[in-house]
Amino acid sequence: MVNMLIVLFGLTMLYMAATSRIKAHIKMLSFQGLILFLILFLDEDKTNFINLIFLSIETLLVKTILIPLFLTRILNKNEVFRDNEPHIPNFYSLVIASIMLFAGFMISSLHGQGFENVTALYFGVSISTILISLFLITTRKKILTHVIGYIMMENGIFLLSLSVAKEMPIIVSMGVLLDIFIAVFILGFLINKINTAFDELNICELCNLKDCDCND
Amino acid sequence: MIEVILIFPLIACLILFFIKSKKLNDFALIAYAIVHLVISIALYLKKINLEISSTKLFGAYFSVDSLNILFLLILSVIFAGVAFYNKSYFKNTDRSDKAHTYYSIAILLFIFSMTGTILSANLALSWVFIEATTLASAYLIYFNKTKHALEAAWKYVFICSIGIALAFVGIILLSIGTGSINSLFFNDLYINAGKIVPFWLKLSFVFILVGFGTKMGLALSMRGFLMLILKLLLLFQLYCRLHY
Repeated sequence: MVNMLIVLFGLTMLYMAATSRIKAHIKMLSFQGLILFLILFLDEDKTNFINLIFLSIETLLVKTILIPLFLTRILNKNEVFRDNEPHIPNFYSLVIASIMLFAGFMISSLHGQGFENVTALYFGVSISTILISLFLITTRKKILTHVIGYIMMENGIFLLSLSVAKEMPIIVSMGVLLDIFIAVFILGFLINKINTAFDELNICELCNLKDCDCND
Repeated sequence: MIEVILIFPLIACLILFFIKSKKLNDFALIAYAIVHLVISIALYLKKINLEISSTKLFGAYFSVDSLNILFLLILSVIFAGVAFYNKSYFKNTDRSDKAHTYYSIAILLFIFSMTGTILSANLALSWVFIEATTLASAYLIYFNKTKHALEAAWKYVFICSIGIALAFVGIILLSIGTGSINSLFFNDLYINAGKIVPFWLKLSFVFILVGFGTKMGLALSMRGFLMLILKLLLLFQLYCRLHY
C-alpha cells in the first residue's frame, strides 16, 4: 500500500512536467501533501505521539490546505493561468522527467553498505523528485511556477527525511516547517509586488541586475 | 553569558515593535552592539583555559569553542561598526517611524540568527539559523522598495532557499550515514568520524558544499572566479614567455 502511494507520488511529478496550467500544478501540490500524510499515517511508528501529531499537522494542514489556498489566491489576483513557452517543450520535459524517475528507481534497487538505514523506494523517488523539480525550475518561465517547483522540492526532501529509519529531532521539523511557511509567504508577497512593478510575471523581466557589465 | 546575547535581541524586538520610536531604535541597536562586543571579548578571554563551555539554559545546543569564538569576535566587531554607522545612514533620508522600526527589528533578528549559527553546536540547529538569516535579510534587501531592490530580494530569497534546501538534503544523507550514532552534534560527529559510512559521507559533503556554497554566494560569483583563474593563467603564460 505504502509502495503504491510512493509510486503515485512519483507519477504526480510526471504530470507536473507534462502540464502547463498553473491551476493543475497547484492541485497536484495539494494532492502530494495528501499522499505524504497517508504515507506518514500508514508507515510511521506510533510510539512518538507528539512528533506524529506535529508531522500530521505539517502535511495535512500546511502542505495540503494552506499553501495551495494561498497560491490560488495569488493566481487569481495576478491573472496568470498558463506557463506558456517554456524553454523546453512540455513533451520533451516529460521525457526527461521520466528518465529521471527511472534513474530514481534504479538508485532504489542499489544494495550496498549503509543502505540498511534507509528505505530504498522512498530514497529513489525522493531523489528523483528533487531532481525533477530543479529541472522544472530551470525550464519554466513564470515566477509562480518557480515557487511551485520550490515547494515540490521541499516535498521531495520531506519524503527523503521519512526514508531515514530513525526520525529527525522535532526541532528540525519545526525549523523546516517555519522555513517553508515564511519562505512561501515572502515569495508570494514579492510576486504581488513584482506584478505591480513590472508588466508581466515573467522571469525574463528580472534581468536588470547583473554581476558585472564586462563582455570579455 | 551566551544566553544574554541570544535573548537580548528577541526581547528588544518585542519592545521596539510596540513602541516604534526612532531614538529607541538607535539606542537598542547600539546597546546590543556594545553588549555583543563586551560579551564576546569576555568569552574570548575566558575561553583560553576552557575546552568547551555549554550553557545552563539551552543545554548542549549552544557552546563556545576555540573555533567559533573567532567568528563571534569578527561578527561583533563588524556589527559594532554597522550599529554606529546606522545613525548617519538615516540622517539624510526621510523615513517613517514604522519603516525605521521594521528595519531595526530586521537587523536585530539578522544578528540574532548569525550569532545562533556561530554558537550552535548542532548541525541541524545551525541549519535552521542559517535559513533564518535569509529570511531576516530579505526585508533589509527590499528596504528601499525600488524595482532593483525588488529584483534583488526575489533573486536572493529564491537562490538562497534552494541552496539551503540542498544543504538540508546533505544533512539528511549524513544522518543516514551516521547509523547508530544518531546525533548531529559536531562533537559526537567528530568523535565517531570513523564509524560514518564513507559513501554517505561523500554524498552529503557534496550536497552540503553546494548548498551552503550557494548561500555564501559562490554560485553567483562563479563566473568572476573563472575569469580570475583565466586571467591568472594568461599572466602566468606571459611571465613564462618573458622569462625563457
